[in-house]
Amino acid sequence: MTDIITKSPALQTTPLATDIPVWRVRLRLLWRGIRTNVALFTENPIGLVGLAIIVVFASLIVIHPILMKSVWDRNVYDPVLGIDLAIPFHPAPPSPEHLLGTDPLGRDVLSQLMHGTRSAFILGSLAAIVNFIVATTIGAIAAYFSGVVDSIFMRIADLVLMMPVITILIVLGSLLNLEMLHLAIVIGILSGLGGTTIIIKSQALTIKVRTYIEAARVAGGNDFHIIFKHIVPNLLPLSFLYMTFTVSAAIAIEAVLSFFGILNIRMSWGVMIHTTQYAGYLLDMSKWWLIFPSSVSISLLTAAFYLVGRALDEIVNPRLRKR
Amino acid sequence: MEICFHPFMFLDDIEMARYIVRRLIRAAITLLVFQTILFLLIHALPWDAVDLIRVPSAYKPGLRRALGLDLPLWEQYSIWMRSFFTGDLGKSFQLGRTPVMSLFEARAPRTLLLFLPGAFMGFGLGLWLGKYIAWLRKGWLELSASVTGVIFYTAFAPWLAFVIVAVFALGLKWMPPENIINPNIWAGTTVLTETIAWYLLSTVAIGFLIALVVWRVTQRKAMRHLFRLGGFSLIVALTAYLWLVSGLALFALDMLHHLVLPLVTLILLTFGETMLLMRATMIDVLADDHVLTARAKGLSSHQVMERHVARLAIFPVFARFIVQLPLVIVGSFVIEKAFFWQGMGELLFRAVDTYDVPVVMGILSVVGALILVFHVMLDIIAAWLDPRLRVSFSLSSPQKS
Repeated sequence: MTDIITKSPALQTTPLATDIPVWRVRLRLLWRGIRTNVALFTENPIGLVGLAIIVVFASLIVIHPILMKSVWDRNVYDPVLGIDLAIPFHPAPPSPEHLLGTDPLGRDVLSQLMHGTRSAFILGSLAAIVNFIVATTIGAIAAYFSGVVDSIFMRIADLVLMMPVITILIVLGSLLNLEMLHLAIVIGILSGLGGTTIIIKSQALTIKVRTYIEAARVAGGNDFHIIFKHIVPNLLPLSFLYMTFTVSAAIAIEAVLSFFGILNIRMSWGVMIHTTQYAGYLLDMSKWWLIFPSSVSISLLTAAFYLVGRALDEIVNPRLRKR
Repeated sequence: MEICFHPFMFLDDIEMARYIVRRLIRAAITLLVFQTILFLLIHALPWDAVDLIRVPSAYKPGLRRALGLDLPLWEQYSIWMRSFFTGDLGKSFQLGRTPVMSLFEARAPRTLLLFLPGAFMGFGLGLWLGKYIAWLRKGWLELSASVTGVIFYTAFAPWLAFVIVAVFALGLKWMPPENIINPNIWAGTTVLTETIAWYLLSTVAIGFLIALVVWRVTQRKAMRHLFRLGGFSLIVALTAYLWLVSGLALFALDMLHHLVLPLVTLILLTFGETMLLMRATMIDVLADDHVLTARAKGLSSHQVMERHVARLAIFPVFARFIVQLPLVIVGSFVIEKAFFWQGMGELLFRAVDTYDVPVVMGILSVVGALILVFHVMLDIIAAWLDPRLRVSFSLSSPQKS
């Protein structure tokens, strides 16, 4: 097979064909694919804005432990246990020591904000990974086997679409003791089994009828091999797109639930707003530093992931693709 | 063949009828499974329901027998299913042992009054804006509209509510900040808020239907703008007159006054997604060849946009709307909590705080059933609009000679 290709006159003239090993060709193709996609992504200002916001927030996560180790005193600036005894009245307005003021319990708002960023990223990525695994596996299996398997999974998807996710989480959260990990898994499974599976499955259906799947079957590949070696890799771009939307949804859901005081999380953006509400400063616009930093951060980060998702949508979604 | 026009014309199509039957059977199965899951959920929770009711411990065995908790599981399951389908959702543990169903009868109209107009106005606004943005294709307009849409769509819902309250209610004092009615106005009447809510909802629905009829009837008329203006103002005047005659106008106005801020918040939260999606699909359709044909044969710009582009672009947006509806209903719960709008959402939060399991389970099953009904309705409408959907799920070959 390789002999025929290398000896064909069309490829003899090009320097690529003869002596370069296969892995380098593959790597070069991969690199070219990445480069085209990056070029397409950077064409769109919306995606770049989103990416910039995400990078800023990610840098906050890195800066926080450095600040805690070097400049900030642990007893004063700890996001959960710290208190500034030098200030008589809390919440105190922004000052050189506390750039975003202090909260009703005397803790530094900036430090809380940075710590909350970490929680948001951890939660979002966990939920997205669970969503990715569930949606891609089930979508590929349902599309590949079709028939009974397909209709069982699609009825499950119908059922999950019918469930009001936040309502169920409110119930679960107040009756059980939900922590971050549980929340991420529940959000990932519910969002993965519902809408995402249906979309991924319809994409997998178009891949299933390609000739290379038939070739793989003729070559003796079993079902498991075909699904995970040939179908799933082609679903990756689309699944990645829905991962960004899941991150966005997970952050928003966590904020709503923590705000109502339902979750067992020590510090997050939603918990900051809950503290403000608990102390009765919620509608007090003169104490803006209590509610604005966390709420604006929630809105900005969800918007950022959503924007990146929209920009990716235009690259990977076959319906919107310009190529 | 002569075609006879009647309102249920779409049922004449055998594919359509079969699609509706299939969809209804699927919905019934889904509802059964959903109820079963709720039943299993209660039994999976790690406590005994008897401990949640505040009675002396000596009464507990008797209570257990009275509630039927000593029966075998399958018997409890059959009771649960039978009572759900006969409309009996049990009694509240806390609120004076009121039947859950009568609590809902008071709360549901208020939630619907917020949720239905909010969802449909948000969807309509998004469609309209997305259509024009995609059609005009002005850079600055597109960018600013997209950014505004994304900001509102991803804004943290309670925070947006509080900003709106702080600005329009506490700052400018245009609207009341919270609550559903002003008790001073309602003092000394026997009129119930839910009655007014039902009347308002039916007024809006009937008015909308009549407006739609006026729109269709005048579509081919020469001076249609004049006709439409006259027709719509006639509808508005007639509605206002009927309300004034009934003597309930003051109460209705009071409720509407309290409704404005939550409704605006809900619309702001929901319109962005529809707008962005409509814009994307419009641009997609605009590249098609048939648009060029339509322009070439000399149709007006408005006709090309409405009939040849928007009508095709609407399907994916509509499908997305169906999927989004549960989120909107939950969003309206959060907004209810933020504005102290005493509907189902507020009831849910209170019930969850006091471990009122029958109320919580009742809300879950009613909301689930409501969402299912919406899904089925919108699926049928979508199939009516787009004939391809009717046959895509059929197992046998649809072609018959």
